[in-house]
Amino acid sequence: MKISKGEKIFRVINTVFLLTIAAVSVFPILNILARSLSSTGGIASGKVYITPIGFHWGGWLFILKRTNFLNSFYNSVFITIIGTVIAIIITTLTAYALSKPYLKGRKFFIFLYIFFMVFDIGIVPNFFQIKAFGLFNSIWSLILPGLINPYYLFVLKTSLEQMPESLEEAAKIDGASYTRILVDIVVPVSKASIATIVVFFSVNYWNKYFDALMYITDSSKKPITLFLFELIKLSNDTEGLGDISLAATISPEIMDASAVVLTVIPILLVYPLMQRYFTKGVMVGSIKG
Amino acid sequence: MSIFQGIKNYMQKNLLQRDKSWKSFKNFITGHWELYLFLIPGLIIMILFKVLPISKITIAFKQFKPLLGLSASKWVGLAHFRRLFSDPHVYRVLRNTLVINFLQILFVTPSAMFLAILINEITSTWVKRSIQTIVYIPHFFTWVVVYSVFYILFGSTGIVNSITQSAGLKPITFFMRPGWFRFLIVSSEMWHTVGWGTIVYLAAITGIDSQLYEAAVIDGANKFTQIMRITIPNLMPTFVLMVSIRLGYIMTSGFGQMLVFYNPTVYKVGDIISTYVYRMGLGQADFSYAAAVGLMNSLVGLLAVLGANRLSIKFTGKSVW
Repeated sequence: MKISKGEKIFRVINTVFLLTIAAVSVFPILNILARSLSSTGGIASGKVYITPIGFHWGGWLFILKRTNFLNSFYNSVFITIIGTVIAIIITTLTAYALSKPYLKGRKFFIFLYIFFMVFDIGIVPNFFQIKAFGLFNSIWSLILPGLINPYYLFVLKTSLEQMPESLEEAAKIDGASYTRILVDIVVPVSKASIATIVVFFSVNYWNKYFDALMYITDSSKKPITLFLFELIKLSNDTEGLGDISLAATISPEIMDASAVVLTVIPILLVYPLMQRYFTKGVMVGSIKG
Repeated sequence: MSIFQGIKNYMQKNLLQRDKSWKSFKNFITGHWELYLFLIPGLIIMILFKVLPISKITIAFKQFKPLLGLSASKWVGLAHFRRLFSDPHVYRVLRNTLVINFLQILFVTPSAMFLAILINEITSTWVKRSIQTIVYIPHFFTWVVVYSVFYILFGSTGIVNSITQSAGLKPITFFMRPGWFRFLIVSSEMWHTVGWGTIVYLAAITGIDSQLYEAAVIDGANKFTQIMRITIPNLMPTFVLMVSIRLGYIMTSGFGQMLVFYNPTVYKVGDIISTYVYRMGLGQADFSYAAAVGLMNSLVGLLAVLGANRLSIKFTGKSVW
């Protein structure tokens, strides 16, 4: 096909424009990475863009060794792994049952999930409920309420509905139970869809900060998001920063940047793995809940 | 047929039918009991963390005293709701909620569509992939990270202020100036969600009939005309759906973002309903009042969702859920 001159110009301008947007998108991350690896003097010079000035690891080491970072990191890993595993089991079971159009009472259950997708009673009643369950200051207060997410549930339900019924027919004729069919046929066939919601759940758990802000006061139980929140928001508050005399040798700017970088690295490491799956889920979810 | 006969017939028919439907339901359960078993864990979680908290809303109708506990605290009826309507802060936070949502819907929602259209025009798969990969990333960061990034970039020693200073300007306290603060809220929302928002539009673009473009090319339409006359009109249903979803969550959205971004110097423009509820309740321990404001917010929010759904069905024929 012949391409007109105007179209050629459009393509060049468009590519340049989008590359600029991509650069602007990624610049903040590179800038903070560079700052975290710069010296105090380097940062003071105001010339740190995407390469560190006066390279040193001090900020990283300080965050890793002298603060509650690692402890919070373990908490987040625990919450994310345990939460995601249980959530996936519950969601798969629920989505499979709701994907059967002949299930009696199906409409009611779907209504229930939709209703609670759009309605939340508010933070005060939730707070009192968590206290009433004795979950205040327990890491489980960050896991249990997030085990069901109607939006992710509908994403999985929709893709299970698209699975041809014939796949299950043969097994049914052989007298296999639903449990058997679910474990041996449905789950292996829907691996990609389940992987999509694994991505959603784990990102959700890893990123959760508000629940922790409300329910966790014990610093040994705080997740990484809350650690970062307190470090950045309450820079005057030295609690949790350990030895203050050591803190003096590393400027708060370097500490902030290092904490951000160390929080973000795990996400960036698994990002390529996740990328294969999430787009599909967004599309399924947007077509129909 | 006598009336008596009629009643008898009626009863027989109905009782029989009820009996039959009960039997078929019982049969269904025996054949499919596993499916109900599968539903139980999810329902337990829903009941514990979504249904039971509703019972705690009594706090909004009582004067909660921590020493007495919730059940022994005195009932005060609608006192907290009356206070709500005379609280000047409520009008302020309501206005801020609307303004911030309006700004974000105005700037962020259409940007995702235009970005998707431009990304779609890239012919090299490799370049396209790379751009997509990069612009999706910020969506995976929690608001705490997004705030930290902006705080570092726009803070007093950040790169933005070093640039303005080397240009001979005074440092700008971005997080304390109302105007700049709004700019930060909108631009951080942009950074966080625009890339992610393109996915839906990119999917919708692939669904547009390619014959439309072929016909347009024969008629001599250039790229710009094709985008204006074919792509954008075909994306409108998706756009309306996205705006509807955004409108539906108007009362609750922005909480996670605002709670990290705002500070007392910008309460005037940054304090929204949900942050106000949080501060009154968990900050100042005025639990009863906060619960009342929160309840009003939830109810208005529910109306907003239902209204948005109506809107979406009317304009696109699609329900939000």
